[in-house]
Amino acid sequence: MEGHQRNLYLYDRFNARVAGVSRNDVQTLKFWAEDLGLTFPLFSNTVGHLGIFFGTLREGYPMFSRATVIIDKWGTIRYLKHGSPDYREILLQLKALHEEEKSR
Amino acid sequence: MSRSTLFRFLACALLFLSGCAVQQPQPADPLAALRTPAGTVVWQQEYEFVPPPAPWSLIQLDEDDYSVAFYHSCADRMPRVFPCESTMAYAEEPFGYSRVFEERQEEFFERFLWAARVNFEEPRLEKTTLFGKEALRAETVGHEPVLAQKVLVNVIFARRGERVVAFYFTQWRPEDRAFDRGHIDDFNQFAESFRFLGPSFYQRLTSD
Amino acid sequence: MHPTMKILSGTVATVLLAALLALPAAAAQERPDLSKGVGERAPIFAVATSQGTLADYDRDYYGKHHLVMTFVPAGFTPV
Repeated sequence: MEGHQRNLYLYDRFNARVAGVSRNDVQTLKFWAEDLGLTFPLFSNTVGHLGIFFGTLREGYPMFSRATVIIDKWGTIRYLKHGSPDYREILLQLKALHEEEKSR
Repeated sequence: MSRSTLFRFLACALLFLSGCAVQQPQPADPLAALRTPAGTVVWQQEYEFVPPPAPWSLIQLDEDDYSVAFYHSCADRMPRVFPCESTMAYAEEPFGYSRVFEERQEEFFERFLWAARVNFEEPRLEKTTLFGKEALRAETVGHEPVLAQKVLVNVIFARRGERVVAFYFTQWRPEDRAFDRGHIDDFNQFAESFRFLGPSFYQRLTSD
Repeated sequence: MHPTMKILSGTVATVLLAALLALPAAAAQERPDLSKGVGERAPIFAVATSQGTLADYDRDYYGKHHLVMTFVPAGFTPV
């Protein structure tokens, strides 16, 4: 999450927005965002359907597994990687999307 | 079990146990292969610096909080003193987010050494230069009140492209012992010798 | 233990075991694979956020911004 916050100014240049997602309630996520000093939103998906959609909610396990997904502004999933976020790979992907956006 | 099977089993067990008992011998100079004729070290094809002199030694932990780090124990000089060690490191992504030095140091000390449970005194800030650009030095002491330990921290926030990078120095001592400020000279020499061999990932990302 | 009791308890255990074994299979039937991959259309969703707002994908991001989402097990876990 800190990596996302550090790169916010670059996401802005590439016309991207970022969010964290977990199954915590809004209040817990609010405290967590305050603790880390995050200025981007954390999505509270207590029901867990976002995890089911993106394959990060293993059956019989209560929490999401770590993964990062990028949806382009036209509504298509362009990147999906399990594990801790690879911030540099994310930036390269966003740069490519931004260039595509300029050429459309 | 036949005698030969038993023998093979025992041999395997012995081989396995010997792996536990015998430590891999430490290479005399882990930086040997990276040294240049000029006395500097080329690190990850990205940085060049003069490493601090012995007994400072390279440490490699499985962490991504820093890019390169060195460790200096004083267990030989003060055998019954704990904790007694100094570290220095270069970090490409220091804690915090802001690209403004004064804001960054505030955010930095919110997170730095958080697992050591220290309370930092208000840091003393000093404007300086590094890499020919403006930089900020912050010095403070952190106290661990329960274990009666303290840590001297000296951090130089510098700029690489538009991002903030940092050099860290820490020195741990029991609360009733004096700090050895001589180690900060080694730290300063390390930071001043530091060079970037090319543009960073972020500089390349935003160059076109 | 009385022989009848023995048989009975054995039957109960067998039934329980069968039920337990059948559970994962039944769960698998209840939850089809809904996951989407790269190249597919993203699902439409709206969720509450840490900022006290509602993040509505269609209203806030679709046609406006690329969206990066990082899934984490829980708040206060390192990522």
